[in-house]
Amino acid sequence: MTIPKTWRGLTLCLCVAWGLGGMQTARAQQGAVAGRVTDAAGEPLPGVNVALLETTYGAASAADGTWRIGAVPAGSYRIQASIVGFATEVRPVAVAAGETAQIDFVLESIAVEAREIVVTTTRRTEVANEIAASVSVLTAEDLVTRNALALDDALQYVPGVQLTGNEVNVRGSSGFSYNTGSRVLLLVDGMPMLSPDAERIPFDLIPVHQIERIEVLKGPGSALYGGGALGGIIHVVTKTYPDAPETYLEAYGGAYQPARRDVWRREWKASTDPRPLGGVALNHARPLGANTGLWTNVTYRYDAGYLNMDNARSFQGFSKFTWRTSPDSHINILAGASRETSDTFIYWNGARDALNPGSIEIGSAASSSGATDNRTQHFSLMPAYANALSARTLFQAKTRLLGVLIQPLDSEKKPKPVSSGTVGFRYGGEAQIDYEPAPGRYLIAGVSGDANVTNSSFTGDDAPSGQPEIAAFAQWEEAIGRVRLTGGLRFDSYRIHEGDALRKLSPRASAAIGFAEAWTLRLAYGEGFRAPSVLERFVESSDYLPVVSNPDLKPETSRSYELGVRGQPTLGGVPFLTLDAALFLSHYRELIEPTFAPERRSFRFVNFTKARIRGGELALRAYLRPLRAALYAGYTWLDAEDLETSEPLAFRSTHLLKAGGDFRIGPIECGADFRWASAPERVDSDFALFVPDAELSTPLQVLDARVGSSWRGVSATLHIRNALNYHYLSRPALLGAPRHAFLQISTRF
Amino acid sequence: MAAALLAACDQGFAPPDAPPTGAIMVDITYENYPEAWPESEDIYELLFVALRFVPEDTTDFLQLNRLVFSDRLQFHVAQQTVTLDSVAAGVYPYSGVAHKYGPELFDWRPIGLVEENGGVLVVSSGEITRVSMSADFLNPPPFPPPDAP
Repeated sequence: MTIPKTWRGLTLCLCVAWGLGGMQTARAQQGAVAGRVTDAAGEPLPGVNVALLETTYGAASAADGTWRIGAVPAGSYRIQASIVGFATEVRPVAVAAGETAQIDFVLESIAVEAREIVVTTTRRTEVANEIAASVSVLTAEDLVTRNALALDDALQYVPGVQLTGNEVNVRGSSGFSYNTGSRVLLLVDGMPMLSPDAERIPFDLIPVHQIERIEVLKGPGSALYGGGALGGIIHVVTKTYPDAPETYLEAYGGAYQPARRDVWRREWKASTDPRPLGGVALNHARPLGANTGLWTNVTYRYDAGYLNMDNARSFQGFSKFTWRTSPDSHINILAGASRETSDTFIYWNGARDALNPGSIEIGSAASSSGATDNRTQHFSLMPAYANALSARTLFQAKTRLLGVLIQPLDSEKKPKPVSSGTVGFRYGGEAQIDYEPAPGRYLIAGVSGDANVTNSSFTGDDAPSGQPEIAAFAQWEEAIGRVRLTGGLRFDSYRIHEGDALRKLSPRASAAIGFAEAWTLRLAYGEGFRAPSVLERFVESSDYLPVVSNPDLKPETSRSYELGVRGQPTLGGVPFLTLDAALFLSHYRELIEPTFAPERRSFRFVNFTKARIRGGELALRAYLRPLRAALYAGYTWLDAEDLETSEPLAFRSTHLLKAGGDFRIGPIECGADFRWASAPERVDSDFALFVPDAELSTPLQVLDARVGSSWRGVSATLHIRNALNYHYLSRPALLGAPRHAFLQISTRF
Repeated sequence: MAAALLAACDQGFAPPDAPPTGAIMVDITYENYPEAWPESEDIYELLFVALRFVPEDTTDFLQLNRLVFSDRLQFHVAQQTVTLDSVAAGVYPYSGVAHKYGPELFDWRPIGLVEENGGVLVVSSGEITRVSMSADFLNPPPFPPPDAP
């Protein structure tokens, strides 16, 4: 596959989409729906999501509770109003051509959260309480409340998810292995977006202020989204523009606490001073015309870091343009660019010199350093088109382009030539048809293509520039009474060498059985796989670790079973919390990790083992309106076993607990999040051969706290992260962040 | 509650009190014994040396903080076992018997190298790393060493 051919294909795809769109203009009989949302006391409710179900139409209520959805094709719909803390209301509405249907909602406050909407599980909009999979949702409010700085920062608060360094571990799917591709797939508005070079998650791709919500699917998802979804999926859903112009300005600043251990302070004098961090973000969203709107964000961040040679300075710009091309169709274009200049600490110089990077010298031409300084630039462009071909048929076409340019810095901190770094592009597209032939029956089918071109100084001369992929997928859903059955199948084909293809068929099946009043029992089976990246197969480098290629790597595969229940127990007839409990069993084969090859005096990626991970998870959420308190807790128990050695699988914590809440006392808002993980029962042995004390591990006990208030539209919140200043290892040979505090000031106008 | 919170602060990971150390035990076999042995006056020094790096020339032997070495080895023996105690834990990618063949500062050469595990000696805290190696005054390994593949 060549770039010109691919672009011709994408252009053709979009042209087909435009053609289909043109078919709809003949029925441009349109009206509108508008109204107001209040609580039982008549007070306006801002920020309520109002959506026409099974369509792409929706709006959010303004400060006075009013909302309006324009350019709606005439017809009959179901309209839903939902917000946390109130009972979701769904009503029928008839839209007549040239008229505005008036719908006023009066929402009743409830003790538990409103129904969450998710799209990851079946590629279409569903209510979380009724799906046949484990999904956790972080809302935009969750992100802003915690001043999450990036996607990985936000994921720390999701039950069942553990971050080991920058690797996302969903229910034990990943431990920690340097530069292995991600076993969790990142989607942005439904589009896979792993980095083109190493198939890793670009956490800074989407600014957190642009995120409407983050859905985390726990379990394999390759039947829906293809390779990479071995252990789970992180789906970032971005915001669309509001009905009225809106600007949000935020600034924060603070510092890391000086190091407390004398032995560490002695080795790095600068650690005796507070180390600053801060940033500023500006967001502006507005309608540009009757059918167009824009959401845009610029962010600057600086972090001096709490380790020697570990700091970052980043600038990020991102926009989402929406154009309602007809009453039934719209185009979204996401575009972004970011630049980060950073020193990155990779491994320490031993537990007694934990704030300084170490080095490895085992006979390669150059020594390997435990720190690196780079300038990394990302570019992204994601046009997407959706068209309701009829009341029962929705067509979507999406394309994506992600570029990455990584340049090492020289001694004067100037970027070296591109030839000494990495330049890569991932591009692709997909088309999907959703068809509802009868109520409760859904058919979804589509095709996708993806390719990447990478030129890296980290790969040998025989490395291919990419491994293009084509795929086809189909899914069927059927509701029989209170039972919903889902079956899906996806076929993927990767070209890993000239004339050599890797093919994989990924099935899934699930059943959701409603019982009692608000309970759903689920049974799910799914398979996942991950093709090794070009970098894993062809890396030849000694910059950070001496690593040599292994072109014969096979894909990792997974198979997972889950039995779960989700519902709302009642007390005196009133639901008081949302509960989700699950038992799961996963088998992994051909897991890839770098291991030391003595004959090469280097590491190389190998398929090292098969594993079984079983466990249970219990998640609780409650919104206690009388106390104005939102609470959550999640506990995950894992039994992860390496089936070849019968030892525990490395870097997996047996116990993981996350809990927290937000409270409001008069004008003061405060909150806290606590995450606790037991120490891994086993850690990697090969890496510890070369990095002193890398075999050490610790439990995790981190408490984040915040307190703030608002006055005349300006909010000020003091955040204290790791408030107990608990010393822990975020991954082998790398200390986690000590206590750090910052003041966040924001205003919306 | 405040007291409990304060008491809970600054817990967790603490660095070890002393740098971790282990030991190296080497079984050295001299090839072509006894005819290969030079006269005693041509052996200015004979040591087992373990380096934390791969040397590029004899001047690298001056980096004494990055290598460990034994007491003087016995002369004119077929084999010998030597132990180095209190060796800093870590990786020693270049180790062997070093022969000082002349009076000058840089008159050093290896006459045998550890080849087990790719030549990489790994010393773990509190453990004894035992290896075997052979040395031959007549067929010394090339020095400086060629780059690893």
